[in-house]
Amino acid sequence: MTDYPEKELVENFMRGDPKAFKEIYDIYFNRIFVFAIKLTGAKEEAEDIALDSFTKLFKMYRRFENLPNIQAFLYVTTRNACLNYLKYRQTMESKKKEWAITNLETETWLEINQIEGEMLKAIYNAVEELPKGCKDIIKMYLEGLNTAEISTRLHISAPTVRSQKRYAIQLLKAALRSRRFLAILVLLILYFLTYRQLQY
Amino acid sequence: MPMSDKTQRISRLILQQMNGGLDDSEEQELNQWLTSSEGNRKWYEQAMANKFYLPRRLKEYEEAEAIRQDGWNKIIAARQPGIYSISKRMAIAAAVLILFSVGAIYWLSRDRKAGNPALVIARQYNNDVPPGGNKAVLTLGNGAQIVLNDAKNGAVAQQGKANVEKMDSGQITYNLTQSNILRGTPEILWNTLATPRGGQYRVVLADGSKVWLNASSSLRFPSSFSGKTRQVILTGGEAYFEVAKNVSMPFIVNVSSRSEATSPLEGGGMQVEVLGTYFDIMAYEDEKAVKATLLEGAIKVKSGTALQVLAPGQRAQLGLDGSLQVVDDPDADNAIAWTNGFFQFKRDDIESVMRQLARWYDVDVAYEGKRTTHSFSGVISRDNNASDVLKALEVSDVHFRIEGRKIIVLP
Repeated sequence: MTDYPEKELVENFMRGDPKAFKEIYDIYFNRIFVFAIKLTGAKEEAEDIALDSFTKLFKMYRRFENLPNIQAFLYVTTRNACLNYLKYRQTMESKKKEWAITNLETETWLEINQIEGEMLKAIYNAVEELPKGCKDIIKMYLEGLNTAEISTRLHISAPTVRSQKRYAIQLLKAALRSRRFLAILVLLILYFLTYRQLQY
Repeated sequence: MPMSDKTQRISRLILQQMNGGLDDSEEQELNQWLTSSEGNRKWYEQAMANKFYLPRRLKEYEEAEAIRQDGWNKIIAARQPGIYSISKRMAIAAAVLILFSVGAIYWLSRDRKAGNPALVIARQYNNDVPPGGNKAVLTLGNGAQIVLNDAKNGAVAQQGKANVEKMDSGQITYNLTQSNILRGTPEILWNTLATPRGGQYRVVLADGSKVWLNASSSLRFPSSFSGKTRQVILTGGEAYFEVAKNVSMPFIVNVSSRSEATSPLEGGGMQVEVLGTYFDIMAYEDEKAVKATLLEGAIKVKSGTALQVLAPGQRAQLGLDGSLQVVDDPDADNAIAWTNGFFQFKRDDIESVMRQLARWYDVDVAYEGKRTTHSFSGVISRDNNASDVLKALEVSDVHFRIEGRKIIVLP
């Protein structure tokens, strides 16, 4: 994903620039897809619904002035399509007496799911940024495998598995610290700049 | 589009936490983020309610990443003339839905004319019943009782070597503190955490094991563990355990009956022995069987002389007749839906569904007319008022009336 400034991206999107369409799609597809899976529990349908939501978005590209609006449109459209699908499934399977209705209508509920989308993306990226060896091990831990299972699967010793896990945690901590360090550096520079200005 | 720096930081903190490596200052930063918005906190509570949730969602996110480019190609292809929609399936679904709706409206209006009052869809209930919440009473070693829903966050009591702290609205934690250990308070005090009907609560025991208590449940446990085993007693109700691993000190859950009622527990109850593992035990007096469902790890279930070892995805059932059976449960996850704030039914009969509702909404249930023999499947949030849950159930040819705190099931 490029560091496209948000304003420029939305302006291009409103102008109907295909590149901006793709960019928006890349930002949101994964979240919208997992959101649809959460509601329908069916992957094929979730993909269809997600793609449909983007098609609808692209048809009315002139209407959106910022990314939050685009995001909200995608979530609401997807939720409605999922509800329709669930009602349809209920009708088709009425003999089985299936029902699946949660309190999907509330604003907070939608907000929570938007937060979830953002967090899933961030956590996924944080894992992906880890070096290859410890990335795979962290992924297996997340899948619920324990040290012994990971060591048999990867043919490496249990202590290595554990040390790779520790290494991953160290890297995560280091990433957090470097940002903190950067922030302090910026503050210091700002301080000296103001100080110098005051001197003159 | 760069992701916000904050989000990136928080994601790393959560990832560290999932792998057990969060220091104090990091925990503080995470807590700040949680208190900064209601949405953040709610999402976090949902995501952390059990350890299977986030990994599953991440797996789905990974799948999304794999099909993303392919999906884009489909959108492009659909824009070529001649192809109307990328999702014919969905279009057909919508058409069928409309057809069925038209049919249903016709059918319903015909029946209304025939004067069948049970088929009026927009049924209004006389009153509604709010959902349960985080409520529990903690009984200390000396018999003193603390109503946790009223207690402030922070230290609640000191018991033996442990400080008892209330963390948030729904959890207490037993922390072993160095100073208490040094001060040489060797005594172990037995505490009881009990939820009323319409309540739920979580406790982190002194060994780090986590226990979720469902409505109308009661757990007795020591303020700290010593000796060869870690023993706790579930005196009725339902609890989900995430037991901290300690190979040299097995964790044993004794399941025993609270009263003399006819229940499967009468004949001495059940004992579950674990090393470090995730499982749910349901031992309500009004259920037909005591059930232990294993999600991960291994447990040994004993009752009288019978002994069974469970593998993940299996369930042990102690029947009214005292027989101990092991069955495969492909939907073992369902057993812990309640820890995520959901009712989850899978081919359950009406009585079983209503027993769950009665416990969470603290209502009585009565039946009028012929009882439905349908089975019910589905998921619904426990945050709903009772009426919303009943409306959802009414899809399946059953109807309800609410009178105060009583729900009447009608054909």
